[in-house]
Amino acid sequence: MTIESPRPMLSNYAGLSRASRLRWRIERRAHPLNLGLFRFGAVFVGILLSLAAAPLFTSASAGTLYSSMWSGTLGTTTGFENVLTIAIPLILSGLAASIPYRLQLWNVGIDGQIYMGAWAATGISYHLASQRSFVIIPLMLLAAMVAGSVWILLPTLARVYLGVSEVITTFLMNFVALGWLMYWATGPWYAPSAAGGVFAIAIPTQADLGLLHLNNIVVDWGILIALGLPLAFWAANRYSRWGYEVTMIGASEKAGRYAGMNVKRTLIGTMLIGGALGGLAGALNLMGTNYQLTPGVTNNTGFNGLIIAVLAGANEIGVLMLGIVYSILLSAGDAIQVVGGSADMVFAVIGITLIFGTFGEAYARLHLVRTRTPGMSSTEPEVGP
Amino acid sequence: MTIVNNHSDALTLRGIEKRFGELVAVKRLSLSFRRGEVHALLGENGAGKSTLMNVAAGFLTPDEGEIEVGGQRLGFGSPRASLAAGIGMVHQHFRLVEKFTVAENLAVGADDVSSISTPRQLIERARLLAEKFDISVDPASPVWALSEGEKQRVEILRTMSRGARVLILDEPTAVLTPDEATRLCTNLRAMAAEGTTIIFISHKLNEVLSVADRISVMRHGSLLETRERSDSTVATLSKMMFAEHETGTNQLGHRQRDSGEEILIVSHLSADDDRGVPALDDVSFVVRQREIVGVVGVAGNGQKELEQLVTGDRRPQEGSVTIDARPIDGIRSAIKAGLAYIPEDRKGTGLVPSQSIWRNAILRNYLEQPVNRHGIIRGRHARSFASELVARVELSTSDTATLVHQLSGGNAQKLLAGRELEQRRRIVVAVNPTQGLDIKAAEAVRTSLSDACDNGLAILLISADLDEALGLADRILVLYEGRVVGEFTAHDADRDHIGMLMGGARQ
Repeated sequence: MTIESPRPMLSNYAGLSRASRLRWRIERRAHPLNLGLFRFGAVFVGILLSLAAAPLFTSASAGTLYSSMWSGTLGTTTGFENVLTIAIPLILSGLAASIPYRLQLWNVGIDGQIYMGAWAATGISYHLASQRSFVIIPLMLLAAMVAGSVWILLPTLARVYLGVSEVITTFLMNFVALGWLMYWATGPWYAPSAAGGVFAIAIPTQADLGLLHLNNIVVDWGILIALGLPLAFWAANRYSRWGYEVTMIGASEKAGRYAGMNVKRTLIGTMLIGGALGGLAGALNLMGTNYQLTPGVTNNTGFNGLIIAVLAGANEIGVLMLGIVYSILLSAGDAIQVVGGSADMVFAVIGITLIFGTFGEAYARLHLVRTRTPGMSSTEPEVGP
Repeated sequence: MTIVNNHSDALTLRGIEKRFGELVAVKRLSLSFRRGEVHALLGENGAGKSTLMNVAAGFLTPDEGEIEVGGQRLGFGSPRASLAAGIGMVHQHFRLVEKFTVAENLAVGADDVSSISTPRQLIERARLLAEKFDISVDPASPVWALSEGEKQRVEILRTMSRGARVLILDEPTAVLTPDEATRLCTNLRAMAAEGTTIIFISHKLNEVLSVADRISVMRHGSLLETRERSDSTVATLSKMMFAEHETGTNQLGHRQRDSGEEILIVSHLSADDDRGVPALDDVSFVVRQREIVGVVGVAGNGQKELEQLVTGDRRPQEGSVTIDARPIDGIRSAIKAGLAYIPEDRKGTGLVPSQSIWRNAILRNYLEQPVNRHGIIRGRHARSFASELVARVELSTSDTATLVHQLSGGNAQKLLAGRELEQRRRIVVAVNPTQGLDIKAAEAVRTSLSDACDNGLAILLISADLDEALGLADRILVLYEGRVVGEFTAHDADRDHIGMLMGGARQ
C-alpha cells in the first residue's frame, strides 16, 4: 500500500514453525509485476463478482436490477449526466487525498474541508449577492480553497513540528467542521423554507455554476475542473521541481534533506494543497448541485475519495479513472432504490473493491515461496554421510 | 582454545558460527563466562560482538555450534527459552512500550502476573522487584517520560525479574550521559558481587578496564584473546583491537601528491550531540586541495557530529566551518559552496532506492541548469546527464530507468561516488565509503577517491577502518572524546601509537 519502499518483507522469524523442515514464506518479488495493471484489474474483478452476486441480496429480479443499474448510469442521458455530476467532487476528493499520500501523509479530513469550503463559498455569495457571476464565482472558489487549507493547517503543523499523527487530527477536524456548518445553517443563515431541516438560505443564482451542453448531455462546467486538475497535477508531478521534491521526499525524507530540500516546507505546502482541493470540492458541489449549505453537501465524498486515492496508488490519472468508476457505482446505487434495492449495497461493493485492489497490489509485489528451513543442522540430526 | 567444563561457568559457547549470506559474522567461536564476573566483550564495530550475544540470548539461530548453561545444552532461536535458562539481554535500542508505565512494562509477559491486575497491584509488584534487585525505578511513571538511563534500568530490572543469572548488555553506555554511565557501572559491579554474570559489550577501552574482571577481544568474527583485567592495559588491548588486518587494504600504495590551497577550514568547533552532551570540543583542522585527510577513532567519539557539522546538517555551539572562505550554515549552502558528500547510509540517504537511476543522478544538482529551468525538471537533460554518469562509472546497466534498489551494493556506491566526485566540486566528505562492499567494489571506490584527489579535490575521509585510512590518507587525525588527540602524516603514521590514542591513552 505504501509507495515503494526498500524494506525486506521476510517473515522467516527463526522462532516460528521450527517443527517443520519445509515452510511457506512471503517474499518480495525481485521484479514486481505491473502494479497499476494488477490493482485496476483486481478492482474490476471485484466489481464484476459483486455485481454478479448482487441479485441474491435483493428482492428484485436480476433482470430488473441490472436494467435499472444500466439506465441509471450509462444507458440513458439522465443517468450519464448523473454519473458526471457525482464524479466532480469524487475526483477532487481523490486528489485531495492522493497528493499528500505521495508524501506518505494521510488527509482523512476531506469531508471537513468540503464543509468549510462550502461554508466559505456560501458566506462570500451572501456578501457579494449584488455582483455578477464572473466576480462572484472566482471569489467563491478561492475562498473555498483557502478555507480548506486553513482547515488542514493545524493538523499539518502538529504533524510536522510535533510528530502528532495527522490521521487522527485531520479525521477529528471533520466533526468540528460539521458542528460549525450546523451552527450557521440552523442559526444565522437558516432558511425559513427549510421547515425544520438543516438548510441555509440558497446562494444567489449568479453564484450557480453554468451548464455545458454537450450534444444532449447537460452538466455544470465543474466537470472541466474535475477532468483538468488530475492531468495538471500528473504533469506537475512528473515534470516540475515540486513534483521531483515530493517524489524524492516521499520515498526517503533523509535523502530529501541530504539533497538540500526544505522537507518541512514541502510537507506543509503539499498538505495545504490537499486541503485546498477538499475545499474546492465543497464549493463545486454547493454551486453545481446543492445550491444551499447543508450537511448533505459531502454525502460521504471524502471517504470515497480516500479509497480512490489508495487504490489509485497516488497516481492522478488513476484517481481520474477510478473517480468515474466510483461515480458509476454510486449512480447505480441510486438507481436500484427505485426497484427496491438498497443503496447500501453499493458501499458493500466499494468495500469489496478496496479489498480486491489491495490484494491485487500485494500479489504484484509479493509471492509465496516454499523453502527448506536453513541452519538447523546442530539441533536436528544430520541427514546423509 | 580449550574449554574446561568448570562448574563455575555460567554460560559456555562452543564453536558458534553465524553467517549472513556471504558474510561470516562469527567464525567458530568458543568462549565461556564465569559465575559472578563482569566479562567485557571488546571489539570494533562489526567485529561480531552483538551477533554472538544475540545468538547466546536466543535472538539469532547460529549456523553451527552449541550453547551450554550450567551443564545443560540449550536449544536455539527462542529468547523465551534462553531467558528461562537464565540468559537475558538488554539491547542497545530499548524494547519498552513507551505509552505504558514502568510497572506495566515490567508486567508484560511476566508469568507471576494474574491476567486481572489493578494498576495499584502492578505498581506494588514493581516496587517490590526494584527493592529486591536494588535497582531504583519510578513504577508509576510512563516510559516516554524517562531519561535513557532510567529506561535502561527498567530494562535491566525486567530482565533480572525474569530470573536472568547471565545479563548481557549491548553497548549499555552508548546512550547514557557520563554520570549515568558511572552509576550503571557501580550497579553492575554490585550485581556481579551478588552472583550475577554480567556480559558487557563495548568498544570503549577505558570503560572496559574500569568495570570488567575479564576482557575478551573480538576481531572480524573471531576471538583474539581473553585476559584478566590485571594483565590488560590500554596499550595491549588497543594493539589487539586495531592490529593489522591480514587481508590488508594497506597495500594500496600511497600516492605522492603536492597539496594546494586550503579549502575546508574547521576552526575551534564545539558542538553537542542529540542528547545535549558535548560531542566535539574545540576541533580545528584544514583540508587542502589534492589532499586526503583521514579522521579515525572508535565509533561514538564525535565523528557523527563532525560529519553533520561539515555538511551543514548541524549548528555548532562554537566555532565555524568554511569552504573556500564561505561559511557553511546549512545543507544548501554547503552544496552551493561545492561540498560533495558520500554518506555512510548509501541506500536511504545518499540514494533513494525506490526511484530510478536518473532521478537519483540529479539528486544533488536538480536545481542547477540545464536540468532545472524555471521550476521545470527537464527529463531529457536529466537522463542524458545520468547516461554520462552511468557510462563514466561503468555501471552494470546502462538503462537509467532502472530502479536503484535493483543495483548491487557495489554498483550503488559507484553511482553515488561517481555523482559526488564530479560536478565542479571542491571538497568531498566520505564516511566509511567502502563499508559492506566486496573487495573489488571497495577497491574501485578507493581508486575513484584517489583519482578525484589527484584531479584537484580536497577529501575528508571519516572512517572506522584504520587500515583504509592509513592506506588512503595523506594525513590522519585521531578523534577521542570529541577532541583531536593526535595528528600524523602518511610517513610518520605509527599504527600502534594511533591505536593507543584511539583507545584513550594519554599522549
